[in-house]
Amino acid sequence: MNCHDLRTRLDPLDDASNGVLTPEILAHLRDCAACARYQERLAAIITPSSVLPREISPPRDLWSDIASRLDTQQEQKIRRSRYFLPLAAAAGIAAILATALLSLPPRPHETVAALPIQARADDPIPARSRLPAEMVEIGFVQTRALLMKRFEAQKGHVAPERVAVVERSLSSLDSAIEDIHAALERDPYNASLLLKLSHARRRELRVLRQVVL
Amino acid sequence: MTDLNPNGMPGIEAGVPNVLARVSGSTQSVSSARGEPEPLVKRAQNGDRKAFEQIYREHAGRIYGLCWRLTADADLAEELTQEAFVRAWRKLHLFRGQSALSTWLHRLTANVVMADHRVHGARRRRQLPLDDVRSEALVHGGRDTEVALDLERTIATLPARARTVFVLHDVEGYGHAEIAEIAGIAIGTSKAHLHRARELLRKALLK
Repeated sequence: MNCHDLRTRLDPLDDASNGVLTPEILAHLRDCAACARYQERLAAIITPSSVLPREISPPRDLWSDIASRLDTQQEQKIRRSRYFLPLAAAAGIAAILATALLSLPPRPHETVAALPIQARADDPIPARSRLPAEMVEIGFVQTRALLMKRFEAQKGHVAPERVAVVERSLSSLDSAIEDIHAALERDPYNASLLLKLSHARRRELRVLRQVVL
Repeated sequence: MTDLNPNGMPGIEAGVPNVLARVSGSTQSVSSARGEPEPLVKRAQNGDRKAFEQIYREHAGRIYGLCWRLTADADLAEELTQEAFVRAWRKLHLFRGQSALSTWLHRLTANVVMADHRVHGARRRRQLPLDDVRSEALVHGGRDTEVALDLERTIATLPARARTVFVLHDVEGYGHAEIAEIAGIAIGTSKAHLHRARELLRKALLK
C-alpha cells in the first residue's frame, strides 16, 4: 500500500466503507510519519469534538463585570418602579379630568364673560353644569387676586425696573388669556385651548410669586 | 445528528469528562437532573447572587468557549459571555428544569451571539489573530494540542456563517434544524455552510 492509496482509503468522504483502520493501514501509519500526521488531522476534521476541548477558561475572571452589570440593572429597575407609580397616578388623574371635561353637557348659549368665574359654596350653578373654561379658572383666580394684593402692597419696596417687567408680563399674559377666552366662546370644549388657558394662568402665578414671595 | 443530551452533545460524551477535568477542573454539574431545577438554580432563581456566581463559575468555560469559537475574537467573546450571563440572570425564572441548565445556557448563549452577528455582523467580521489562537489553545493543554491548535486556527479563518454552522454542528453537536432556528437560516443553507466549512478545513489542514 502506498501513501496515495492509504489516504484515499482513510477518507470517509470518498467512500462510506472507507475510514476503517485496518491492520494494513495501521502498519503503514506506523512506518510513515507523514501519513500518520495526515490521519491525525483528518480525524480532527471528521470529529473535531474529540480534539477540541469543550471548555475554554476566559482569560480573566468576568464575574466582577457581570455582577456590576447586574447591580446597574437592579438600580434601573428600582428607579423605574419609583417613577412608575407617581406617573401612573398622574396619568390616572389626567384621564379622570379629561373624562369629566368631555362629559360636561354643551351650553352654547352661555359665554365665559357672563359666567361667575369663582366657585362658591352657595353657587346656584352646580359644578357639573359649568363650562370647561370656568372649571379651569377655579383655583387660579383666588390665588391670583391674593398675589396681586401683595404685589400692590410691596410695589414700593421693589426696584421700579422689576415692577415694570412684572407688569409688562402680566399685561401680555392677560391679553393672551382674553384671546383664549374669546376663542373658547366659539369652541368651549376645545381641549387645546383649555390647556393653553391653564398654562397662561400658571405662568401668571409664577410671575407674581417671583416678585411677591 | 440526534438531539442534545442533558449534559451536552450526543456521540462525544465519552471524551468529555477528561477534557473537562483537564481544562478547568470542573467536576460538578448543577443541572444534571431533568424535571425540577437543582437547589442551586432555585436559589439563583430566588435572587441569590452567590448561587448565580457559582453557576457562572461552573459554566463560564463552556460559555466562553462557545462565544470564542463562534466569534473568533477574544474580546468580543468576553463581552458576549458577560451578556449571556446577564441575560441568563434576567431570564432564569423561565428555566423550568425541563432540560439541563447547561443546555439552556448554551442555547441562550448561541442566541446572544447570533443576535450580535445580526446587529454588528458587518462591522465585527474580523478574524482571530494567530497569537490569540495560540494563547487560547495553550490554555487547553492536553494531548492533542498541536492538532487542536491548527484546527482552532483554521476554524477561526472560516467565513463567519460557515464557522458558525461548523462549530454548532460538528463541535457542539446541534442538529441542522436547531442551527437553522438559532441562526435564522434555512436547514438547506445550514447544510451547505457545513459542507463548505468541511471542504475549507480539509483544504487547509490536509494540504
